[in-house]
Amino acid sequence: MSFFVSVIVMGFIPSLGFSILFHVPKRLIFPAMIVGFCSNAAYQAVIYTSENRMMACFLGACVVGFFAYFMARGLREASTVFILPGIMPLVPGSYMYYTMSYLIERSYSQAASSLSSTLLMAGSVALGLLISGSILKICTSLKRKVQSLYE
Amino acid sequence: MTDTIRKQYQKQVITLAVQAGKMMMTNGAEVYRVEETIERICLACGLKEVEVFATPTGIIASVDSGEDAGGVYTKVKRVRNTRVDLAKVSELNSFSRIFTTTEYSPKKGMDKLQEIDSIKPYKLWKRLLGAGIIAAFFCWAIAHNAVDTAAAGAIGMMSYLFSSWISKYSINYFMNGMICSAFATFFALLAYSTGLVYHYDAIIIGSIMIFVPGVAITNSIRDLLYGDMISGVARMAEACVVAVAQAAGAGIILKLWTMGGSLL
Repeated sequence: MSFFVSVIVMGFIPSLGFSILFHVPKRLIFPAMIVGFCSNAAYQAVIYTSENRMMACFLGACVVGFFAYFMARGLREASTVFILPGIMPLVPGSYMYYTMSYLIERSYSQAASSLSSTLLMAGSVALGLLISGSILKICTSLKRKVQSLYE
Repeated sequence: MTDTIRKQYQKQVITLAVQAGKMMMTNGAEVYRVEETIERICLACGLKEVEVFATPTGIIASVDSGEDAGGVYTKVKRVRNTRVDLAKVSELNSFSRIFTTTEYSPKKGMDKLQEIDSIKPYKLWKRLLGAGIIAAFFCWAIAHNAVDTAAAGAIGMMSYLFSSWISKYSINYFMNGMICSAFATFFALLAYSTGLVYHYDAIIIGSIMIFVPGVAITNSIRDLLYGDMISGVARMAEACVVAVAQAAGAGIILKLWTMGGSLL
């Protein structure tokens, strides 16, 4: 039960906050929140089943990439408007902080492991965006080719 | 006579296109979108050859009318003070679509650009509310504690207010990130020392999440994806620098606090 509550609340609210800070136009705030919700649902589902944060970040970023593309297509907007508020909650700010606090306590081995998970999580967010973007690019060029065959 | 008119027209078009590109870049669009917008505007106005090279710090555009008599115009525009405003990006995106598909004079386009430039962000209290929401929910995700969450919301609002006040003095972004996270850390530790709050680390993380360089990371990946290597690497470096600055700001205050505590 608490899992579903946290999925719903944590999905909608942070992307609402970032939408306000980045000045997403009023009519697009709700679609941006939906993108954030879907990415968070994917993230939480992976955490719930396997505790693998890198995979969670990767899938969350993939979902943001795909959903933002389709939202942008449907609403005829720039896809940046949906991607930025959706990605921000996935950035590993907490691990960044823990790395720093371990460094201050001079526990270097813990700092190293925390730093490596920060970098890996940031890298998997990047990879998720990269892969969803590439797949969408291939799909659009394939679609164009098929259309030109029929004409 | 017609020659000077043509030259005037060419100048107006390139000024308009580069201005539109600069506005997109300042407000957080990707490089490929900026280059595409400039190219489309110039081609729609009947210029035959357009080459654009855009980076996050500057735009170079060169147009050629394609006739023997016509000259080549080049414009360099420096981009400073990036500040994300997606409403402006969305408006500029639809502006470029309308401009290229309908008859629109460059002069009228320039007026429209000024209109877009004067769009104000959301009112301060709304943005403060947004910052408070972000800080509170990231704190709640770690601490699961109502008092900590409320404190994080208040401290997040305060540090956002502080950052919007400090950005008036145009300090560079490294110092800005450092000072804001130091401010948040100081107040989190102050709240912790009153004894009401248990997890000062969760409060600091919540406040840091407001200023995290997610925009730079996202845009750098999208730039790399479209083959704009220089911009991608530059934005990646920006993200690293901001992250280090934030960690340093929080770290300095934490260290000073424990040193002060051992003195007392």
